[in-house]
Amino acid sequence: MESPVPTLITQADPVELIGATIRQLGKIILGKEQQLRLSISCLLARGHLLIEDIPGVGKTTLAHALAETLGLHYQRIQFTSDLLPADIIGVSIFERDSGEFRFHKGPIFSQLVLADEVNRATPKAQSALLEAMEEHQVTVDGQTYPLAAPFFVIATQNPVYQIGTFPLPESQLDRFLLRIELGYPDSLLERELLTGQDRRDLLATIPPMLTPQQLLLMQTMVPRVHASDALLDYVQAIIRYTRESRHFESGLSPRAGIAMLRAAQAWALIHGHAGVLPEDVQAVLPGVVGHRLKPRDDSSVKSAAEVGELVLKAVAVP
Amino acid sequence: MMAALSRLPRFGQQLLWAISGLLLALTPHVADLHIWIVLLVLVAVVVRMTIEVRQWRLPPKLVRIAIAVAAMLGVLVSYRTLNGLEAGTALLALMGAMKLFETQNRRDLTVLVFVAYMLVFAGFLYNQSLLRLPWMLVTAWVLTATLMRLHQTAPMSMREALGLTGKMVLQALPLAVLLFLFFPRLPGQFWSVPPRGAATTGIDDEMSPGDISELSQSSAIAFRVRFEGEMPPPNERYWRGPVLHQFDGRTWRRLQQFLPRQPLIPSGPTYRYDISIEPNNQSWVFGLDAVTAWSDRRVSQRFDSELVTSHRISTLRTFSLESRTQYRSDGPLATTARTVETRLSQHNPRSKALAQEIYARTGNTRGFIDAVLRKFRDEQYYYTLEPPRLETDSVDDFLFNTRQGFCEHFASAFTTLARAAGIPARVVAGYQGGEFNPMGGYLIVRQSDAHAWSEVWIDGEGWVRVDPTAAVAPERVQRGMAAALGENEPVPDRLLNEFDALVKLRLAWDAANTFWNDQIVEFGEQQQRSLLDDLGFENADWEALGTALVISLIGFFAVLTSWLAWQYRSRQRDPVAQAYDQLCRRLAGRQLPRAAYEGPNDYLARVTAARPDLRDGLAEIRALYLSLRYGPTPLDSQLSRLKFLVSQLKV
Repeated sequence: MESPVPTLITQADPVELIGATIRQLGKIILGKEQQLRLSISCLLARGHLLIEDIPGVGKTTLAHALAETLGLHYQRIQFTSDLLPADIIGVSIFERDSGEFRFHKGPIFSQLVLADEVNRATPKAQSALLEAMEEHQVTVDGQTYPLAAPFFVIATQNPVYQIGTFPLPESQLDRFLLRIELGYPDSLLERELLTGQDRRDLLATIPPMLTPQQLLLMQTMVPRVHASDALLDYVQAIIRYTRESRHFESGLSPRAGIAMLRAAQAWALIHGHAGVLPEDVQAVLPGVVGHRLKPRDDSSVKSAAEVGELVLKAVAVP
Repeated sequence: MMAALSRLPRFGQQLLWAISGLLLALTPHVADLHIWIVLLVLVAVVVRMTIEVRQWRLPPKLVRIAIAVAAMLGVLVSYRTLNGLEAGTALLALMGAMKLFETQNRRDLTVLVFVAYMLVFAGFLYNQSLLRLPWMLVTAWVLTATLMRLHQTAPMSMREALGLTGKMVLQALPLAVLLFLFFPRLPGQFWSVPPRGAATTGIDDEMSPGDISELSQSSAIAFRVRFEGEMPPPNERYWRGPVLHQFDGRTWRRLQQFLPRQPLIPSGPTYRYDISIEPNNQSWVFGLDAVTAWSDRRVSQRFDSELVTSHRISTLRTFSLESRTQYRSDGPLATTARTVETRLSQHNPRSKALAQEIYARTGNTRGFIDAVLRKFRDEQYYYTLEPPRLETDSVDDFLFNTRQGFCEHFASAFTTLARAAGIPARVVAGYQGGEFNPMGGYLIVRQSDAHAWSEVWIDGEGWVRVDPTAAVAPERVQRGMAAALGENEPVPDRLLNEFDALVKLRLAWDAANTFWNDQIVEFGEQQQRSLLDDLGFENADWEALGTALVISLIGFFAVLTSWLAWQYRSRQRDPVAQAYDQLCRRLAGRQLPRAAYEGPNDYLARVTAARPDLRDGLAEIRALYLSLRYGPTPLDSQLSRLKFLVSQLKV
């Protein structure tokens, strides 16, 4: 489909804007265009992103590059086992000058928050972050503070078999719209990484490609991308399959169904599809179901990637 | 170990099941294989599973080749050939086990499963008994389920695979029955199994004292007889086997030369019956004395009324015979025959003297026979399964010393006495009696019914059957051996026969077995022809049968297909979807089928890549279809355009 979505405002043609953004990001994050598109779809669908991979494959660089390119204010929280909720949200401190308590905002009050190694912190610190993500606001000492808009959390997580981790419970994993893996670069790109400029230096040189206003506008466009009856049939067929399949402990929740549709709409938007296509759903499907469906012990599918593949292949496009 | 096995990944689990199938298929062969082959297979299985559990590497190619060659040489040494049933089975089993060492993907596992299938088939070449059937079915079931699991994209538990396979087998059953009944049968055995030299019990072509009493201790079944109508009374149930003419003082043997035939003149009721003889590696057809007609062209009757078939009976064979129990022979006995049938060796002088003395006293043949039988009955002669061993002059020893014998002793002694008196006489070996199975309506004749009697030539009457055992133990002929023998004789299955329920159970099992043998194993050209006759196809030759089969198969699949098409008929009324389905069907006809999960964008892009000539048409179809089906504002005009394009596309 070459014809773009009838845009509300010509200055924010999503295909062009996002295309340029991806091109620029691609100069820093080599060979990960699919993950970049998924990340931006996630952001446009007002969701939060979970990156699960081993250390050193560029999770932080990705978050940083996204912040720079999208022109977002960015803060990073390194999760450790002694991290306290106050370290995330902020703390009220008595000021002698004014004679009253004043709230010092924590790193959560940014447009893009990188929660690094989120499964290293205790459940208490984890839930402080996750509650903020869900509510888009924090309440301290009876006072409610709204979070920034747009507000986008990228959490990274080590594979849970590494020691010293507190795996996020399923109910909290559900708060992340998409989950992606970065994986190793192929040998050609590996060589480029080895010989090329340091990624962090490159980061400093890139200009923002979007304004927060454009981003917010596109976020409002996502739910309006047309989803036909035929497509909703397909989405429902996928949900039904996960609930009936013998491979999973439980199926997708209604919230997960909405997440899948929103992500697919965002994907359709940045690819200029007039309506959501089955392929749009398929593109986001592994990211949506990978962390939400827990394989049964006796099932032969084990990894999140296998789960995505299984569901995708099992449901026929109507 | 079990825990380690249950933790195996998908491939390991599949390997485990394929191996289980192989071992199941191998089990019926264990008795027929050399022990080292069985052990080698087991070692291979254990080693391979250890490799799998420990995640070791498979042995290198050179080692594998060396093992395979060594195994092959082993078979060559053990069997002296690589050909034939036993060696072939051994080779198949070994190669299946060797294949384990290079099994590392789905294809290898498939090969393994097929080797196991071959072993199952090979099992039927050895033995087609009903007892084996359940085992074979279970094996085939496990193998098919394993095969099913191997080729599923989505993983499948064994339980599910077994369920699905079971369902498929049941669905295939009508087709199997159809093929079984109507697939053209060729006359004779379709695949000829080389006769196996295994020892089987049965009446031999010579008889020494002790032979028949030894045979009588086996309760194995010799043959079964199903009568059309009436059965003869028990004392007329003489099943005639080899006729023995030559006597060296101890052993009776058959005659290799041919004597003139004395035609029979039968009288009395006619009995028609089918006799199913268990494999015994001999060629006698144990017809009821005397056989007057038979249908099998390979069966012939010798001058002495011995009924033989030209092929040794190496599998269960059934013959249709007709007999009349009363008869006499025609004409005077030829001189050559008289010479042969009165010839005796120099042994047994006392018996000869006794015979001459009796004959001199009685004066004629009838009187002589009665006198000898009276001697057996009135003097101290005993009928026993465990007679003492006899000296070289066996008849003298029996008549004057031991006085204990089984039927062969009495028959041998009687025939010797008759010959010594100048009366032509011969020994007939066979069976006498049989147990009626009311559940199957047929007679079971066991090895324990083995018997021997005499035939003497009486001028004017011809060959007359004389059973000296009947004089000593009349119960033997009326009610069978067990009734005629004492309490402490080792009669086979005496204990079993004391419990009515056990007897019934044995008869029921035998009836089931007989049904299996008669209706299924023995179902051949003739049975098929009579079935077709019953159905109204008379004189169907195999070409007509083949045609009918093909037509009925086509009909069967046509009905099945239309039923499935009805079941899975497209329920959507959406014209857009219908147009798209039509396009997919047309492209599928050109080897470009759409995978079920494939979206329209991906699919049409793939088709365009494969068929660049359709680029323009497909591009427009794609745009129209996506807009109509998934777009926000579909137009009716687009639909007619889509339909038009789909119908015009020159795939």
